[in-house]
Amino acid sequence: MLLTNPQKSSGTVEKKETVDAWMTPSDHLEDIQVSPDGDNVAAMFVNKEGETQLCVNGQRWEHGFERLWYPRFSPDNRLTALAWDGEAWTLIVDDQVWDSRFDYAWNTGFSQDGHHIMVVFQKDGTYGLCLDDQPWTTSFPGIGHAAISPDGTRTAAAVQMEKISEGDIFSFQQGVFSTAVDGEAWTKNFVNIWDPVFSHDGKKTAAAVRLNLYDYSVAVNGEAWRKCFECVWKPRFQPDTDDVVAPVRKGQSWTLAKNGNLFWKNRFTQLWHPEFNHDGSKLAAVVAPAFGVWSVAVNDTVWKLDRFDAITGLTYSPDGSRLAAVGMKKGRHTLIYDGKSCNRFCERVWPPVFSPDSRHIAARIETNGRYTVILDGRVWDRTYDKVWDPVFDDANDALVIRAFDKGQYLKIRAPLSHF
Amino acid sequence: MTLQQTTLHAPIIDEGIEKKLSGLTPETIRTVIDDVLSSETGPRLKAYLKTCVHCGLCSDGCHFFLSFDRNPRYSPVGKIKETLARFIHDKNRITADVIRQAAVIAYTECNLCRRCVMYCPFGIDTAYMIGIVRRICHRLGVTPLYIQDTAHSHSAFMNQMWVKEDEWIDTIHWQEEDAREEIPDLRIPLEKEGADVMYSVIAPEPRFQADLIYKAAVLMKRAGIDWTLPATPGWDNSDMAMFSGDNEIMGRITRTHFEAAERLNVKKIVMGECGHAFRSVYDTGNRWLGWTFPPIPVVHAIEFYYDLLKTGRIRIREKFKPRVTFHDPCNIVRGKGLHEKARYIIAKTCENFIEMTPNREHNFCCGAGGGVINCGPPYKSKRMQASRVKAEQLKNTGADVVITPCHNCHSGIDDILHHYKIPMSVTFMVDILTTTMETNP
Ligand code: SF4
Ligand code: SF4
Repeated sequence: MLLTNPQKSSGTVEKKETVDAWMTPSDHLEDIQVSPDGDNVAAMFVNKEGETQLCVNGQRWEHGFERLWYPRFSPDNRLTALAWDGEAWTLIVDDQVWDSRFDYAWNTGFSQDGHHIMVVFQKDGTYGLCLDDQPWTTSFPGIGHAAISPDGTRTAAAVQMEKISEGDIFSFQQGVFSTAVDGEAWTKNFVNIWDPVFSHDGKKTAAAVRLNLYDYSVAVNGEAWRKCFECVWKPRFQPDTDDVVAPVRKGQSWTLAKNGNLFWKNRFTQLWHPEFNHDGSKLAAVVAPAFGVWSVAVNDTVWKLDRFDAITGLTYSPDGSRLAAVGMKKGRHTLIYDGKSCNRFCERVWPPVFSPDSRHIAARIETNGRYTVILDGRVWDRTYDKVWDPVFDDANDALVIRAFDKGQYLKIRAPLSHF
Repeated sequence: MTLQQTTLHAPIIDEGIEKKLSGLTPETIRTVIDDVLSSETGPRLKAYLKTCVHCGLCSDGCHFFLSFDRNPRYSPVGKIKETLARFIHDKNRITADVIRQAAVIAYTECNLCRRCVMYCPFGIDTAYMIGIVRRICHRLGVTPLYIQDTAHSHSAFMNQMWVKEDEWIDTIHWQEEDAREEIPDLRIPLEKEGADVMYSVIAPEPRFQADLIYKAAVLMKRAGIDWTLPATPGWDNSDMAMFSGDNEIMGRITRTHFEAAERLNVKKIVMGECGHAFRSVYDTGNRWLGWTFPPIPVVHAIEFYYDLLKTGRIRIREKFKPRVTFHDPCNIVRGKGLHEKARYIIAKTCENFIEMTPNREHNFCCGAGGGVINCGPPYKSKRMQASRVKAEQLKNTGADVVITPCHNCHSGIDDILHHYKIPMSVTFMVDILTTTMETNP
């Protein structure tokens, strides 16, 4: 059963926008996006001529396009969308169109602070990344796994170095993939490259690699670890030391390796999503200590939880002392944190959000087919047609609920004491 | 009715099998066999090997055995005798020639259809054992070229046909544009985070059969489903690495598929009409990763259509008139028992239904499954010969149309109908549904 507070108020509505009123009867609403601060709501719709248009807080964007797609707000509240003008694709940011033109552009990505924006592009059949309207000067026959450095000044991706014909299994097995950083490829090729990541200062890159069909390893700046494993997953840089850790499979079980050497003592049926806290003092991962049984391990110690079928959304608190995730059991979700399950199961829970002082945990949830938020195990008493992830205010005393209900967007300030 | 058997197939030179064979020594072979048997198998295999009394009752379960005039070489137990049993009992004398023969048997003479399991008094799963032979062949680098290429495509781009990310998105965009000429407000929503349903397909759909995505979109629209497709890798639910023996890539594919659904935080995944993909996400790939069941519920198209009809979300305007029969795909019928739900859909949508014999869990495999069709054109002639009983079974129905909700079955049966000149067409269930349903329910 979900607990609610009978004393609560319905919060203060700080913004209300009637999205339906922005459109004519022949427009079809395609997408609604809300800025992280909750102050801007954007609707994308198709008019009767078949053109896609964006409208922010009731103001239609000046630039119209044959097709707009993937409207997304950056972490610093700028609205972006991929745009097709009938001849080429580009990116539009707060109604300003990039100069770069592509045969295709997709997968818009942002730096953590939102100041830098990246897209993947294809032009004349070759592929690259474009950061802040500056495309890579080198492009490649294939691309995947785009990544942006934490400060947003560098980009990387797994790239195909030469074209091979379909069916040419022997050239493939020679290794035609590498990692390109700012358009420049590592000096070595691999059979496969997956999930390149940047170090915290953005100077190094590491990726999961396959050296042949059987030997997996991690390559750092193009150099593979000296040890190989039966399989590896996405690596991570340790923030304070630049050591690289990755889940590795050896002897049919999984553990963590650091710089090529086995690092954790426990062995698992599965281990993935290793995450360091901000100072590197904690390393956590999603683990399956036994077949079908999922938990979280922190510094090689497994949380003693009831049996979960799956776990996702591993998130540290800002001070790095706390950890939360979403646990799934029999198709229902709950938050788990600090080694315990909150045991408030509902249809869906989204990844947890911590308050700036790390004391509170909130999340967007679906309960009985409606949407609301949960704070420290207590559910907000109102439900909506849709909500976005809740945002704590800087003073740690209220939660901003961004909701959509009956055609209206609502920004609600909910004091934490009212939950 | 017995169709004419053609001559035995000519020897096939498959570079994917041949190239590594010359470098194999008995020691390398023994090391790999020992490693796979000791670290990747356990009591299940031991029980099967100990229990088998070589009675041969499984033989009549196998369409290869029946189509090749009861040649014991093609019986399930015969295939194990020539492969895994030799690996175990003769392990110091396994030459490259034995491995070649084992690869040919394991990849091209067994569809992993599990029909024979039902004919064995002990329920011995020959398909499981053939899977171990494939795993050993993969570890030795001896795999048919075409399926190996598909496994490479999976590893590089997480789909089976080298479809690039922009090609996938572009296909969805133009399918949406086309569909809007019929239904102006129709959407094919990419990346709709929080939708109820993530729909996933196999790579031949964007490559060759994009109309199936269009039809799925029409169905979703008519039924009022809140759905989405990922714009990232994970949209392809197929998994030929599962059949090539590359378990590590199989796991990576399944993980990518489920993590796309987790990122979009959908309530369930609805899969298009594919059988082998269902086996990967519902049984094999998820379990290799450590999930007992899929972490997000997975619903095959048949279950989905059944629910839509049962709950009245779609209604049928006028039933399909031609005589139809139904081919039960192994992976969703012996794999999950969806045969009665399929028949419910047919009863609702078709006026003239003729059962083929045998049917339901006893149905014969289409001859394409288990990765056999993915071993490519070199083996087509053998595949056609091995499908003689299937051809007879189809022909005996006298139907005009055979429905089958599986891509492999669809392609395999299409080949059979052409090869044996059977005047019948093959169709997906969604084709029937979209032509018979009410357009304004
Ligand atoms: S699994 Fe199918 S193809 Fe393989 S031996 Fe058994 S019946 Fe024959
Ligand atoms: S029917 Fe069973 S016991 Fe008899 S030969 Fe076949 S697998 Fe062995």
